Amino acid sequence: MNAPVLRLNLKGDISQVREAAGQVQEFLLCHRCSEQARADCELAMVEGCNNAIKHRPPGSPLQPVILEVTIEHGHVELRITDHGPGFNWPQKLELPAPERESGRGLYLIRRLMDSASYVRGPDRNVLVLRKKLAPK
Amino acid sequence: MKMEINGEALRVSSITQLGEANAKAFRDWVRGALKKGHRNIEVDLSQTTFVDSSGLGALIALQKTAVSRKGKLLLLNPQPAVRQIIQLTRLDNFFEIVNSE
Repeated sequence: MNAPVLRLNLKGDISQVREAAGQVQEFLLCHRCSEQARADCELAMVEGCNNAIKHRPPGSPLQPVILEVTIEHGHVELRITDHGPGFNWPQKLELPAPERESGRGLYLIRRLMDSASYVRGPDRNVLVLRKKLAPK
Repeated sequence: MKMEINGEALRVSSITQLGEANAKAFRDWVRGALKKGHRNIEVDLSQTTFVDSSGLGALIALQKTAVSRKGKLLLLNPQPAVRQIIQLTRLDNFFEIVNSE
């Protein structure tokens, strides 16, 4: 049996990420994910997609950010693919000083999910986030 | 979103989400509404179901705005999911959070 997959192409701006978050929530709810897992995956997915869209190079042909959500072997996997220049995933994810207004997105992703891997390639970057689903 | 003035405090409520799409506009809207004599900013988070790192950034910016006016920022009644994000990012000691029944 094929694992359930939700695939979304985000072609537009940041506001589309919130719409996608609603679809991800529904998908996870249909597959009986707990409220906590849904909330954690939603925030991690939003942070990952916001990053990918914000760092899209200006004026380049609009390539969609692709979000795939898979449920398999008791895990949720979020896979976010973009075609921007990418960034170097920090070796150590630390919180900025409390008064700093930015720089918490990757830290949150890492804390909310069980694993996070980022592969920066010549024509695409892929962020893969996984979270174990607690047995109901 | 709603805004009301209560003496020295400006209170904002009916916020459903505070994320990348609206965080900067929210911050600027609140800052723009502050008049001379308003020192404190109260953000009622009781109806807020989602806050991301940009939303936290807007709240941090407003905290600094309030301090610069010799006042403070109060976060009122955040829901558990929002409280969790504040705790995960260790901002629970930075923000003044008020929970009332």
